[in-house]
Amino acid sequence: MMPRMANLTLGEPAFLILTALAAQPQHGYGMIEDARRISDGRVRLRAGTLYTVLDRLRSDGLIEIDREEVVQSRLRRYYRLTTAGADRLAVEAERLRHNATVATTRLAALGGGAA
Amino acid sequence: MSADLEARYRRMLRWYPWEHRRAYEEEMLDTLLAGARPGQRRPGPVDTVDLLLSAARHRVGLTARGLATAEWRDAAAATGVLGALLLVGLRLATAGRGYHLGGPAPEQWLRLLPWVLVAVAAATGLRWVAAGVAWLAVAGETALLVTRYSDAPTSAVFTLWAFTLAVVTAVALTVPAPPRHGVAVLGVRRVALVTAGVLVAQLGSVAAAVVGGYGHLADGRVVVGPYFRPIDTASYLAGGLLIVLASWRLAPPLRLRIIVLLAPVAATLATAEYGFDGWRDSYVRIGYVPLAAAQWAILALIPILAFALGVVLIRRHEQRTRLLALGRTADRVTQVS
Repeated sequence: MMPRMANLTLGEPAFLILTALAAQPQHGYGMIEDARRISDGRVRLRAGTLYTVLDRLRSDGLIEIDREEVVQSRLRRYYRLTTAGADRLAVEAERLRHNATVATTRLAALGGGAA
Repeated sequence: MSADLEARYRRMLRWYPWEHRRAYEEEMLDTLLAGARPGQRRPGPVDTVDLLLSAARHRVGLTARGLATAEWRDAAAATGVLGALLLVGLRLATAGRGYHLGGPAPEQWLRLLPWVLVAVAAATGLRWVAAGVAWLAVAGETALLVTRYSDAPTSAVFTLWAFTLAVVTAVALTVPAPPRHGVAVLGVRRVALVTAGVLVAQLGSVAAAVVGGYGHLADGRVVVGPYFRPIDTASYLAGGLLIVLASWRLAPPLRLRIIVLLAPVAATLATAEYGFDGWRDSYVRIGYVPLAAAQWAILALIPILAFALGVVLIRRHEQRTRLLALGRTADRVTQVS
């Protein structure tokens, strides 16, 4: 399935989720913890937001179900990145890198800042 | 983790539409409980707000996606044709009564003409012409409504339902659909029956004015003769019967959706009749009392809420029907095995 928003930016929660899944297949709580680590504790995804984004990423074909387990009588579902998801994450990472490079260069030209 | 917390999270997850719960409820519960602090018994405020907003977003999204289905497109096309026919009948009756009273004002013919064009264009497949003329007519009706509110405010408020019908018709005709889709969905015979019903009701009402006696006194008060009401009522009943006959064999999903699309019109009429009769009385007794902002808000919001409620009720009804059918099938399979 073609991504619905291939030309739009992902948004930070979706970017963090794809980045988390780029390491290995993960379940919901695992993604929340990993997103926190990736963002140096700045972003704490909540379950409502997480599953809204997962639902969208699934319907866009960027992630898929890897496996399901039953833990303490409850379903635990693991998700993995699809090839389309990996491509989309690469495009987004490049876009962010480009923007960050431009910002850093301009701050340096300004004479100080974070450069 | 406590059973209390799990039960509370389960209750909160019921805020989500079934389509989302079916796919994610159990794993969301697992994720929420995995993130709980030791000894936690109640969901935290941040999680509560997040779940509430996310559930609301899913419900709105689901409703919006539900409106983009072929069933709603068919209903919109049919409502566009029906609305145009009703407006032709309505404006024809107004002009006819005006003729009886010594020649209708030019504005009455001007109000009839666009809806005739809309009905003809919609029936012959010129959907964009129909939609364009309908929106022009709505713009004209808006200007007339503003003028009328300053001249005769109660009349403007109590005929607001006709304006709502014009807006609903214009919106329905704007929904993309193949040419002549409204007539195709309804069937030529049904459109002919509705047209006959509208003409019988409205021209019967004009006949009631001519035969039964209907006029204005010099001070503007309306006087009616003894035969006016019986003829007027009989013509509306006969016209209504033809329209009911026309909708009798309509497929239930289409009929329900047409009713919901026309619900704002009924809601506007009911709001004026039952919510503003006191305001009309005070107008008669003490003169002009302008409507407050809250009253305008009520007149604007109730029709929209009526439509939204109708959409939700249809979705629930159809979901319940589908689940019942699935349950019966499962029950049959269990009996057989």
